[in-house]
Amino acid sequence: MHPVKQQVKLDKKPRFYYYSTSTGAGTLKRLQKARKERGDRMRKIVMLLVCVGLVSLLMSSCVYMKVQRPHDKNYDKTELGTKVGKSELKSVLWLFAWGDAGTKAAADDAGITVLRHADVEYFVILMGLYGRITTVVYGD
Amino acid sequence: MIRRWYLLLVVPCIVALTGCGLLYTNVVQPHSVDFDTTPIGSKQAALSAFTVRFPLLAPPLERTRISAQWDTEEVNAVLEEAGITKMYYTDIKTQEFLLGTFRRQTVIIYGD
Repeated sequence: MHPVKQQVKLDKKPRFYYYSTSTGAGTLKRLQKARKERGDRMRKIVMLLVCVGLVSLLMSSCVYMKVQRPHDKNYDKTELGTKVGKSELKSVLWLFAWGDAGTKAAADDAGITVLRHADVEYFVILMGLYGRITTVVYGD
Repeated sequence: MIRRWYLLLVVPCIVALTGCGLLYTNVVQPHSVDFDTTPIGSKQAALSAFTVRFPLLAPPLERTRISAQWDTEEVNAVLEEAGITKMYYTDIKTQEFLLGTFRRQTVIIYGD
């Protein structure tokens, strides 16, 4: 008696066929286990890719960033004035943040009595390992 | 193994979303966004709000389950006390300790 060559389908659209020289429940269990492992592996890869995508979205410009953007929303016939004042706050290691980056502190820095416009400058190194936010105010 | 990777990726997200220092934060930032010929003002008044919460670090980004909030005074009372009749602009002061367990936010109002 020779063992019967058995062909087992894995999916509806099969890509791989497993040949076995033995018959019985043991072969089927091995195939089910292999399929489960493959599914788990795929799920882990998808999860990892989702996480990486999420982090990439949140941490854009993560190595070095120095940008300045307007804080003021009203540009109606705005004149910048002759004086520029700055105030800043700092953060280190994501653990500690301190400083006065308020409007009043920035205005006092340059002796401004009438505020006309404000910007905010962000300086971030290594995903916020060191960060500095500067308020820049313009006026007379 | 995958769980370790998951933590390594999710923890920076949590940190990024918190914005400031996790252990200690004491910062002042501008609050008003319209400075068109705004006088600097000679008087100031402060209005505080307190939050106490217990961080649980439950995934994915949920940090709190139990919290309590209260504030100190009403705006009108604070302004009257400081003698301010015209508000010009505001700054906001944030004090936070230990993963946001205690958080105090103070709106500083400037005016005459």
